[in-house]
Parts: sequence; C-alpha cells; structure tokens
Amino acid sequence: MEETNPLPKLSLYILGSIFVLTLFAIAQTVFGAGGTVNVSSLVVVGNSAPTVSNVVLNGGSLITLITNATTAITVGYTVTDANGCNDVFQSGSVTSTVFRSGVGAACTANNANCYILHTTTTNACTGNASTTNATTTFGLYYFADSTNGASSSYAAQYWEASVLLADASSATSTASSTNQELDVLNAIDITTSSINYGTVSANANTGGTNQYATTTNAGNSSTTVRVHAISTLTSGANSMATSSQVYSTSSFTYAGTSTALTDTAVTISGLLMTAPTSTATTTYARTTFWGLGVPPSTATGSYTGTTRFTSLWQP
Amino acid sequence: MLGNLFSVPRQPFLFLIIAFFSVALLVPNISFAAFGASPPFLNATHLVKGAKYRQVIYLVRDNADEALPIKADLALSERIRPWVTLLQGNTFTIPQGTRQFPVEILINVPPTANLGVYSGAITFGSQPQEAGQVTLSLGIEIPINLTIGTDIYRDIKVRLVKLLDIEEGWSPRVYVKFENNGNVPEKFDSATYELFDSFKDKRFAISQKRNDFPEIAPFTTQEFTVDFPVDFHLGIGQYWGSVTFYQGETVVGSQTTIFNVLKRGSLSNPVNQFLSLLKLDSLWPYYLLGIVALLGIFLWRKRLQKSRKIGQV
Repeated sequence: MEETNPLPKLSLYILGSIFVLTLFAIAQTVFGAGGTVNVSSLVVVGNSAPTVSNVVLNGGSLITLITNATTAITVGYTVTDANGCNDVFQSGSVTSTVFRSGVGAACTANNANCYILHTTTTNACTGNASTTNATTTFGLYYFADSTNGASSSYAAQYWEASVLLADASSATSTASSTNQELDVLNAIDITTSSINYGTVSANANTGGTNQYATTTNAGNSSTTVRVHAISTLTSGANSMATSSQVYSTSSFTYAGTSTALTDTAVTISGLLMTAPTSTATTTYARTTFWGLGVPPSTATGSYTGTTRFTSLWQP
Repeated sequence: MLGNLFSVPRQPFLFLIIAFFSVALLVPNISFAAFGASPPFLNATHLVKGAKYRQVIYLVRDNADEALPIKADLALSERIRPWVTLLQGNTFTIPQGTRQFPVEILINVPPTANLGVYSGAITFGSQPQEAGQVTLSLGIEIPINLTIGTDIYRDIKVRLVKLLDIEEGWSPRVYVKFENNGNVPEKFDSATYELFDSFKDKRFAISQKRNDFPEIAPFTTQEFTVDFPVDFHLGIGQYWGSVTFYQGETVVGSQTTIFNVLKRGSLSNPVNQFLSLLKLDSLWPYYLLGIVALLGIFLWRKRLQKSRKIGQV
C-alpha cells in the first residue's frame, strides 16, 4: 500500500503560491510604470445660478429718521449658490437698492427716494458655503420721502428693498422685501443756542441793531415755527415784561414792523419752511430778527431768560 | 438817571475778571442740536367706545453729546384729558447718546364716551442749560385728533414673514410680525406651506392650516410663530420653504426662502427636545387613547383582584 503524507503536498501548494505572488510583485515593480493604465477623468462642474431670498428691510420695522443726519437702515438677505458663496461675494456682484415704491427698483440714485449700494456691509461667507446671510447698511437722509399714513408726502406708497445678485458667470437673481413705511419727521435746527443783546440802557432799545436766530428745517415735512418766552428776562428779583423782546422775519429798527414776544406760543407769520430735498441747508434756512426795548425804571443787572422755538407740522 | 444793564467797574483788574466771565457766558454754544418728532401728530380717527389705543412718538435729535431734560405740556380739553397718558410722565430726560427716544402715548376711551371728534395738542420742550442772555429752547407740538365713532375699520399689515431655522424632526416654523391698525380683532384665515429640496426642484410636502392662528387685538402689533406640521421627516440639511397667509381669498403675507434644519439640541433645551420628540402637537389623540387604555387596564385589574378576594373569603 502506498504511503500518503498530505503535508509535503500542502507545502508544495503554499510554496507555489508564494512563488507566483513573488513573480507578480517583481513584474509590478519592474514593469509597474510602463504597465499602468492611466485613466483620465474629466468632470466639468457647471455653473449653478445664485439665488437671493429672505430680503428684509430695516428688520421689518417702520423707518424712523434722525433730524439733520443720516439714519442707518439695514437690508438683510440670504444668498444661495451651489458653486459656493465666493462665486457671488468674490467673483460676482451684489447690488442693493432701497427705494420708494413710486420710483421703482430701477431708480436713479437720489437721497429723497432712491439709495443704491454695490457693496455688502457684512456677509458670513466662510469656507465657500453654499448659503450665506448678508446685510447692506444704508444711510437714509432726514429728508427721505415719508409714506406712512394719510398725512405723509406719499400716502399710497411705501419703501422697499431689492437685491440683485450676479455670479462669476453673470447668472443673476433678484428678490424684494416686504413693504415698509417711512414715517413723517418734523424738526427744526437753530444755528445758535442764545440771543445776546449786549448792554442796553433802561428806557432805551436796540434800534437798528438786530440779533439773529437762523432756523432750518431738519425733517422731511413742511413746518411752521411758533415762539414764546418760557421765562422772561430776569435778574434776581427784577424782571422785564415779556413784550420787551420783539421779533420779525426781516430786519427792522425797533420797534418798526416787529411783533412782541408773548408767554404763549404764537406762530411766526410768514415763516413756513417747506420740506428739504437736499442737504443744502442754506436753501431751507429762515432767519428771525430780534430786538429789545428796556422799559423805563428797570434796575441795572445781568438779565437772563429763555425763549422757545417750537416746530409744528404743516400738511 | 437810569443805570446800564451792565455797569463797567473802574478797577482794571476787577474789570478783566468780570469781562472774562461775561465772555464765557455770552459766547453762544455752537454745538446746538436739532430737535423734532416722528411722527409729529397723533391721529386716531377710528376709535370706538372702550377702545385702547397706543402710539409711540419718537423724539429725535442729531446731537446726543449730553442728556436732554424734556417737559411735556398737554393742551387738552377737560373731557379728554383723563383719556391720555404719557407712559414716560410729563417730565423726563433723553439720555446721553440717545438720538431717538420713544414716548408712548396711551389713549383709553371710556365705554361711556360720547361719539364725536376731539382735538388738542402735546408740546415737548427741551430744557437746555443757560447759554447766554436769552437761552433758546427747542420744542415740538404734536396735534392730537381723536374720532370716536361706531364704524368697523379694518387695516392690517404683515410687516415680516421669516422662515425660521429648525431642529431635525421639527415641523417647519414661520415667524410673523402682524400689525393691526383697525378697530376690530384680526387674524389669518388660512395659510399654505410648501416644502422643497435644497435646489427647490422637488416638492416634499405641502401643509395647509385653517385654524390656530392668534387673534391680534385692535391697534396693536404682535409677533408670533406659526408651526406647519408636515408628513415628512426633515433631516439635517437645507430646504426651501414657501409660505402664504390669507384673509379670505386675499394674500396678506408671503415668503419663499431657504432655511436650515440643524441637529437636535441646537436650538432648544433638553426639556423642549424631549417634548418635541413626543410630537404632542400632532400625536396627542394617541397619547390620550393610551392613557385611557392604561387607566382601563388598571381599573379592570383592581376590580379583578377585589372579586378574587371576595371569592377567597
């Protein structure tokens, strides 16, 4: 009977396998470079149009202006671009417009009704994310057109924000905010904080020497001005009658055509200041001329008082 | 002979001292601030008996370098004077650095008020520091016009519709700012919400809502959140949503935008997370049924035990 020992046969198989693998490894090493088949893959990433959405003007709140200055108003929006936000914020463009509805989104820049900016104030574009929130901040002038309610300049209209995006391939997207109202602002500015008559003798007056108080319309509505003395000229226990001070809208020689000051507010006749349309303040400034007649028997001393200029909105 | 208002001392040294202080007093302060109000009127022309009306008037100035004391003078007839309240009081101070100062005016029309038109004015005047011989103060007069009638007046504005970011598994949520300028309560009648994928190509779900909208009282503005349950699990990612609110057939507010679904716990505390996981808002009938069933089993077992005890006895 033939002796059968399986071990040598198994060893033979193992050795054979190692030999074949070694040959394969040598062949790979020697002929590797030449034997490699290079497969080129070409993927063209197409352009995806950007999208702007969620445009919010002034946080969804009524716009209230600041006298004689600009007011910061934000336009917030969300930008989505499958190619990443850099496609818009670095390689493309963002144009934001804040406008009164009557002039439309394609308006020409004008401080009364149309503000255009080609930059963003803040954007959260990091890591080329596909969705980014951004804001653009505008400075609205104090004379921007009012739209809030029947008493405003443009009662049937409203303010709106529009954002236009373009990416590197000039694909565009536009969106608008919900309507917001801009409130009526009535305000005045006076170029001086006091009127000083200097030294005037008792039973004498300022004659043809007038003091001036220049009033400027610092809002977006027409206004009249009312004046009165909060406290008449007083020096200790001594005082002068309120009517000692007089005013006029043109220069005068005391008392001339002037009007005597009163303790209750009186509208200055002929002084209606229309709403400004530019920052040229001198165009909208009106001067009141002031004089003083010191009554007889007035004691010597330094007299001080307070006069109030009150603005009153005019339709 | 009558003396001068300013007598000149003969001593030169004394004269110099007086002259110095006089000049300091007489030189006008050039940094004078403009002053006004927005809006510069209060026109409540659709009031009814018992109405409560609130208006904010902003006192505004350009130069806020210093605090500015303000005094309010009310020129109102005796009949309507008790109706008008200034929340800030009749004297207050605009703080340093504040250029827009809100003053809240409340009008409480008594239920016994007579129908009619009433008018008056409130004047807000600055109380500046003494600046020379005649210090100039600025003021603003606010005309007040009230009409008490019986008409129904409706005027609503939806100022803001915003699709909020939510957590995984939540229903889509929409934030709304609703302004009711009318004299009757108002609310939405219905709303639709469409949910899309991140490319807005595929619509995943649509939700319609016809109730559970908050009622907004007359002459008030309210901000609230509306949930739109959808039969679709919102996993982490970005989605487009499109929401439209209606009064009758009229669209009164809408928004279409992208929003984020974030991982659990990003926006809420653990308690809210747990409650959200339970989905009580949509699954409450099942929970109720479960509780009733458990209670039934409990009672049945108790009764069984009792009858066994009686049997043993």
